[in-house]
Amino acid sequence: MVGHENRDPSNRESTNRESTNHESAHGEKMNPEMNQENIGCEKIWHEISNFLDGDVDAALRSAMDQHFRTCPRCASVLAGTKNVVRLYGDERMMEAPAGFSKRLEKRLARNARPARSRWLSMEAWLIPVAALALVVGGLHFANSWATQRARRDLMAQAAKNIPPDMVVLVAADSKIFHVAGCSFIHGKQVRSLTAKEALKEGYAPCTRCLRKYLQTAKAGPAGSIVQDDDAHADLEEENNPPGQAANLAAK
Amino acid sequence: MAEANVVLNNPISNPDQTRPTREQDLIARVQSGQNELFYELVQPYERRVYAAALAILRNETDAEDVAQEAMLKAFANIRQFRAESRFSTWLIQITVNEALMRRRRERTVVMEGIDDRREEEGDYTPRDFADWREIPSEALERKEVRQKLAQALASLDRKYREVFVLRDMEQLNIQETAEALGISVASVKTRLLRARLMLRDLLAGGWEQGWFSRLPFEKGSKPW
Ligand SMILES: [Zn+2]
Ligand SMILES: [Zn+2]
Repeated sequence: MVGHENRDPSNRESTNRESTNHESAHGEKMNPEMNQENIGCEKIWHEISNFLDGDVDAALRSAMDQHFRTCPRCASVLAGTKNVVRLYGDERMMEAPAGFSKRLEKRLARNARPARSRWLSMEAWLIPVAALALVVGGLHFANSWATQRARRDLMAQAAKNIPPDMVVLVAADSKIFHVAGCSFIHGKQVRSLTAKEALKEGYAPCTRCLRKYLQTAKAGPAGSIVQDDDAHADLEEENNPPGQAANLAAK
Repeated sequence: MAEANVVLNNPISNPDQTRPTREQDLIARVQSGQNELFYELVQPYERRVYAAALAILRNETDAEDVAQEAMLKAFANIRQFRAESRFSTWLIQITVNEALMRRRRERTVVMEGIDDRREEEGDYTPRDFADWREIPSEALERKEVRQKLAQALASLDRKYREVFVLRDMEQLNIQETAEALGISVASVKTRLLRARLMLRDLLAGGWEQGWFSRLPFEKGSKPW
């Protein structure tokens, strides 16, 4: 079941409109017999929808409340309109034809497959960046003292700049967390958690997909690890990282 | 009232902001390539998507087709979804867009189109002021009540019906409704007011004809 947020009409929007100037003129003219607060029935009918949406200012709201207490006609209009909003807003009013759900599921299964080729062509340009991130991100040199310090700095920096409530993803095979869409985790089984939780569990931010947060730390030590070419060289020496990733990174 | 229910069932409400909801979790997973989870993600909204398409197209076959197309479009663009907006709203906006495109393409609205070019006239005056009682939501368990409500809605002019469906059924806010339909906020408000008042009158008339006669209301009072 889907909940309908804010079904109480009075809770809906509270964007207050500027109060209308012709209120009193309108009221005096319209409703001689039940004029209580300089507001007439026609004014009520004009504003009743805004009233239900919480979209009238405090003065008008209280004038309207007052009017509803004393005018049975407008009270009836209000009550009926509330009925309309509540009944039509009910989940049960949304019906789909029999079999709709099954047909949808089938169509999605048929047409929403992983499109391998599209993925590759779209993201091909990211491969060098990904390789760089692999080196800098600390996958295979996590044990040297320098790197551990760098890593700690990086984490501290990340903790400062990455919104703690941001939803991030981790895969089972590395201690790096990502944002959705990062090519490193494409197709992998992932688990989601908040950035705060990920950091607490010892995950480090991915330098590709979380780059923008890390780059803001340029001046600090973590920033220099990420950006500085010398740092790359140091790390490579220390860790003898063989293979393509390192070569790519060095370019 | 269904309030407590609403909060419990609401996939968006996330009182503990530090934990992702099941929906956020699904979105993140689909965005990272676990495509097979997409159906689970959209399934709770499938009827809302269908209803939005139907409100615009008024034809069940077209509505179903557009609903499916919209879901596929949402899937293809899932990485563009940003958590600042509600997922359901995003989905409905895609659907409305698809439905409007389909309608434009098929030009099925020549008749309605003319009448829609009129701008909103003066204020609407309610016609029925009968004494009121609340219609319990349980009345909706009965198919004929739902059908009567659906017929009343279907009898509204397009411009009123669309705004009403997006705002009061799909629960988009005024701004989102305006954006989805490509009309001004002021137009949304004017049309919504008329739609609500007209529906109220239509249903009050229905009461007189006995739609709700088997409902357990006290004699002599009517729901509005
Ligand atoms: Zn009145
Ligand atoms: Zn990443």
